[in-house]
Amino acid sequence: MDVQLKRGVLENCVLAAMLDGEIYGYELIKKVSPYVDISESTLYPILRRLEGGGAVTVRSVEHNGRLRKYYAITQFGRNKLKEFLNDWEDVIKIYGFIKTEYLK
Amino acid sequence: MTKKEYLRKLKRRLYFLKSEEKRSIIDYYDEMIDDKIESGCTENVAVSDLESPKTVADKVREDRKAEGKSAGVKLSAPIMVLLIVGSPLWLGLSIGLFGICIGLVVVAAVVPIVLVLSGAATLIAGIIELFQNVPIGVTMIGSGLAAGALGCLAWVVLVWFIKKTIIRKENKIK
Repeated sequence: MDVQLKRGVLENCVLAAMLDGEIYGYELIKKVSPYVDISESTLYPILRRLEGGGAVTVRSVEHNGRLRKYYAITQFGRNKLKEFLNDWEDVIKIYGFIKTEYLK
Repeated sequence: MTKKEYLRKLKRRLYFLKSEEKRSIIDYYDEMIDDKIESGCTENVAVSDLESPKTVADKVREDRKAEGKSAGVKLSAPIMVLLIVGSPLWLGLSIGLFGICIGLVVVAAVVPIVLVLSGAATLIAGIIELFQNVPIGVTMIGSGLAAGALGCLAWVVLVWFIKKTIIRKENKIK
């Protein structure tokens, strides 16, 4: 997959994985990886970007004597996700056009 | 490789980051490994599942590039201001500007001097000429005196101008 495209898709996958409630890094990877290939090193900058952009909030929670970071989606993040889904309908239309032209 | 070893190697590879950012990445991998172990992996498997410290560091570098950050430590605002102010370009420009100012001052000072000197020379030449050709001599004496008067006037104006600007500056300082 194209790097830019994958980046956008992954960001939204990560956001979608938070819709059920706050989630920690390892759980996030487990939840997303059946659908899209995501490694720890890919997830890290995505989380930083989402946090920096206000789409996600982070809090540290003590767990088994250590700190674990939990990520939660914000209203802004939800809007972003909605926007992505709306855009995607256009993308599918364009994709259909490209495909029919290509197969002519 | 143990978790401790992995994190130590990663930390070394991330030398190009600010300590705060380095800490954040190390904490992230520390948590990842602990969570993997907690879900049933052995420490060894949890660590070997991860990308190598070198790969991680390379990716961090790539991401920073993609986001337009420099690979090295970021320049702070005062340093950037210093770099702009200290640019060699400004030195050349300010020398040029200084030269123009000096030129203007020299011209302003030279005009009355030249007028007075040439007036004096014409006056003397006019007096000598008076013995040979009276009308020309009188004309020359007249124009010499006029040039001298103009020169004196220009000098007075120059002195007045300088005094006014300097006094105004001194008043401002007070």
